[in-house]
Amino acid sequence: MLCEKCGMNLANLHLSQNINGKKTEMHVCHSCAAQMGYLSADNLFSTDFFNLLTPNIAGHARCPGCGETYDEYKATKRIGCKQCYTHFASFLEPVLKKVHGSAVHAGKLPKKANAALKAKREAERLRRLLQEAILNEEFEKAAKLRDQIREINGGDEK
Amino acid sequence: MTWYKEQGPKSDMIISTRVRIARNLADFPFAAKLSEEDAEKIINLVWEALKPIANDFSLIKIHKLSPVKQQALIEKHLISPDLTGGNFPRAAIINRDESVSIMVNEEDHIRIQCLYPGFQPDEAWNMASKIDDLLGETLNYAFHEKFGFLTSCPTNTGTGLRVSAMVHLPAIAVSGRMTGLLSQAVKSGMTVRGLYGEGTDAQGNFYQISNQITLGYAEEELIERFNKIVSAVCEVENSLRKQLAADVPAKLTDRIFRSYGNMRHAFMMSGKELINLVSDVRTGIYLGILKKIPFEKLNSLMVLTMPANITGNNSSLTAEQRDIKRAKLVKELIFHDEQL
Ligand SMILES: [Zn+2]
Ligand SMILES: [Zn+2]
Repeated sequence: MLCEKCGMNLANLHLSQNINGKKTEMHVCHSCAAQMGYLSADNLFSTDFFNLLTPNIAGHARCPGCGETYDEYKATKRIGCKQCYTHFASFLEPVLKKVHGSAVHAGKLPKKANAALKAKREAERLRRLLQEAILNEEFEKAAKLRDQIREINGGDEK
Repeated sequence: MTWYKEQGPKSDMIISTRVRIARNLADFPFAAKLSEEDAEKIINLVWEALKPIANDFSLIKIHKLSPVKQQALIEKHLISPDLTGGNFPRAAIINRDESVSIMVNEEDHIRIQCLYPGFQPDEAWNMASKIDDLLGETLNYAFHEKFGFLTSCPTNTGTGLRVSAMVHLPAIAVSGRMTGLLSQAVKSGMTVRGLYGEGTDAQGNFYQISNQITLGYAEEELIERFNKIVSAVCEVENSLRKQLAADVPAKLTDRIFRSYGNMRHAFMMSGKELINLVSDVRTGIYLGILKKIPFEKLNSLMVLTMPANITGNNSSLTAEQRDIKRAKLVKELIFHDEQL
């Protein structure tokens, strides 16, 4: 399995945290774990580093963007920068789910969003319509939607 | 359409509708970690991005205003209290009819607010979204593929959209069903607050209803849901008003006439008293006890007689002088063409 943080290295560490009774798990590589503040270079190969993986220590990991720790966020309830959202994603996602019942945005995209993201969104929307059309037995509509989806995906699915 | 000067749809129940969108810039730390220098930069960037429509707007540097002027903008609901205080660079970019206010360096870098009279959630959303699109053409928004638009507080993440209505619900209050109804609205994902926002009680039976959830739904879905729930609350209020009008309790009739008398003849009036008088007089009009006073005039009263607006440029006014001025202004605004 690849590291859930950088998606490049093999995930050879399994982090598990218990925050407010919510258990979150994450598989990461050594360098990401170090970046998140779990490991220092010295104890990189020590066998008992799992003992360090308590929420408390996790809370001291600093966002590389603004230097905020998760403990600081918990105290102020204010997020420091956009990178906090990726850096503390495994903590923030349960928070977002608790507040909103979902952690997946379904609204507007920024005007400057890259074409790929827009196309992906549009394809998702069309796929939902396609499902609906099939359920309603509107087969001609479904065929048209399929063509549209194919077009968006640039022939990838041809 | 200035919310406190013009009449909107359903104005016999809904004072105003507000939509606000929270946005942050990708290339700066969020408000809690922002330097004064970056804050100045952001004000300039936003003002620059608005250039195509700048003719209609003015840029107000909030930290350069006197406290009374800041408070006057708060009373008009054009800025939030969080935009004021200290010397930190903050701005509001407000259009001529005061229906659009773009707050810069509040809790988020940008908060686009559209405030319309009466019940106009779709109209307010469409306007806010247009301005969002315009800003988004040049500004680099902090956006996450999964979480959506990123905000200082996770309660706004995703769409950054908050839609709210200020409603007047005297018949529900009289019927004793307020608590039940409000808890139902809360269960449906709405937040209900008093007139002046968080933690305030519902003076004069004015309530603010707003959506709680900002993530997981498209903006139009959030607006639609809000629309349905507020409309349902209004239907209950409407049918209770009809019941009440058919047989108005003597005590309520008496209170309404007394309030009308006070509004017309009092020599001094506190701000809190005025809110309650406006509430009673509105109720009297709904129930057909009093002849109609245009609702927009009563809405104007609630803004123009607030402490900072009544003080105006004369900051030496004492509380007593303000109360005298307030009572006088009420007479001028509401009863100007009548013999007193
Ligand atoms: Zn990694
Ligand atoms: Zn950060």
